Amino acid sequence: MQVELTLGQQYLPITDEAEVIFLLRLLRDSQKQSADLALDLRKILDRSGSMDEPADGGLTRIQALKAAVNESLSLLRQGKDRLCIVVFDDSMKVILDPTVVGDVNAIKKLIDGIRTGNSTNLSNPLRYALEDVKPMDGSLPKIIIFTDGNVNAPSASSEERDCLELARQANRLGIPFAVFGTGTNYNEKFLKNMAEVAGHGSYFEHVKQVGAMRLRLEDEMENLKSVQDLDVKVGITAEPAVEILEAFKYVPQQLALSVSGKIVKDEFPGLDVRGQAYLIKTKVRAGKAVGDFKIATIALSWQGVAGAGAKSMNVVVNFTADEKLISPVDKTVRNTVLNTEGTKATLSGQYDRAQTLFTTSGNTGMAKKVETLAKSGEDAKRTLRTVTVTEANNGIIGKKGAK
Amino acid sequence: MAGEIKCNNCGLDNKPGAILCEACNEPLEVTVGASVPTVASSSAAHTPASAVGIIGRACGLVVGGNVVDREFELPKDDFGFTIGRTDLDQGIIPDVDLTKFAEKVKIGQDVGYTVSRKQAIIIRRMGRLYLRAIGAKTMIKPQNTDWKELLKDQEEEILVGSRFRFGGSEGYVIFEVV
Repeated sequence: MQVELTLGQQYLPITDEAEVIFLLRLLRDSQKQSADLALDLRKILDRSGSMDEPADGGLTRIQALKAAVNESLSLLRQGKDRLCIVVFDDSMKVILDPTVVGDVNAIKKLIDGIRTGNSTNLSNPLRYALEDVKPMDGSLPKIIIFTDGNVNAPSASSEERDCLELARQANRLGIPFAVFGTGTNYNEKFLKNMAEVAGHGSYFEHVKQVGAMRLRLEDEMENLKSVQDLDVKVGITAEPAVEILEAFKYVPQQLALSVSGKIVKDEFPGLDVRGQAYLIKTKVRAGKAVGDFKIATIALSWQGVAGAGAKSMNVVVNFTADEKLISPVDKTVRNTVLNTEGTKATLSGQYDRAQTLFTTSGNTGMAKKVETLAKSGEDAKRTLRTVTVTEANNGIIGKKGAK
Repeated sequence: MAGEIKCNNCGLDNKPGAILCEACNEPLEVTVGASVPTVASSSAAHTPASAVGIIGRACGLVVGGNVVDREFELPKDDFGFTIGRTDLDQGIIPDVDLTKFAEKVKIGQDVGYTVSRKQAIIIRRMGRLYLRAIGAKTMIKPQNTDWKELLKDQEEEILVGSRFRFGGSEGYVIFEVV
């Protein structure tokens, strides 16, 4: 693992209080091979009545979804990766038991046979994917959920409560979710919340065109295959005179991390081709100190192919009276702050502010997306929210413009 | 107070290091410079932070022991660049032309440069910077250590504070990584 620390400013003027912002980036080691673990994908697909509605390319949603899932099967490695498919309406049906991929055509036939049904109960298939599917040794598990409607059977409130409890269970088991929603009838906040509760790199994405699920699934598999170091744990501990104001991570999406006292912690199953990045904003009571001033300690641990690894780093700035030594603000850190703020503005519907922030950071592509999509309907706004949290800070991670 | 940054939008004086205004959250007008990350490689697991150096932004010319306001930028990508003396007759055009920094001196009956046409290369590899000697008389002084000569094709990592010297006993040039 390569570790890169970038300070907003290395040299600051002598002061009572300062703001110190730093960016921590973890990247795969280009000299090392991937862990090459088997994928263990558990797909939970919506087949409720609304999946009969028209989608893109003259297909219904269910037809487009089946085509996308079938096309993405070619990326699974025969004799190595495991796949399980469950469909749900108000009841669940196991289409494919957990199976190490062999005859892809046989799997395609099973997928082609999926028919739409009634209302939406997600908790039962989720429970099946978590509790009934036995763990597979030496694999990277992932539960992939696709839906177009509100969970509502037997009732929305009980179903949402059950799903969130299962997300907590997934968190305890370390099995991440990839949650996809299409249309405008599903509860975006609930699905996003479910992904956040499941943690370990779980995410939610709105999918405007169901056919685009093929790319989403392919990206997911490519990312998992590229995982190098496993079970990565990150701890950032502030010094007594330092307060952590905000902390964000950016892979798979921008996410505000909770700060517990003076500590920020994060963990994720594996470092893939995108790497990982953290932005930490602190307030430092420097009390007119001069010279080196320690801000925080960063502790990293992981499981590599060759064994366990660990690293500790100090975050140190320097307060100086020499004006000539004062550093300019690091361009990457400044742009990350602006893009992060632009994303927050987008999520809260402050589109003019988001545009200004993205433009100021030089992220004209994202500014244009905000300008275009914010004027359109709810479907476009959901797309915008997904695009922003996923891509606004692609410049600081290993893989640019993944989608 | 020194270093405070006044917000153009609301007028608040913000703390040094701020990028957004604490009151109105608008971007502050700050001087922005190239990104200068500190890199640690996992190949040295358990590396203490003190062993992790800071990669420089540029190489400043040292005159009379002090860095003066003449410099060349260090590479920001993984493509190394060459340092030497331009000789158009031989088609040698290094990325950093030392004749802009070195002075001609008397060499026997002639007057010329003691720096080589092909003196050294600076390479960025896995986020670290290295100086590799390709010509004679390339010396390096990592911070807090003494000068040592680099043999042909020998490399040494360079960090902020590292100095290196090209050329003979007269007419040489010294740079410091800043």
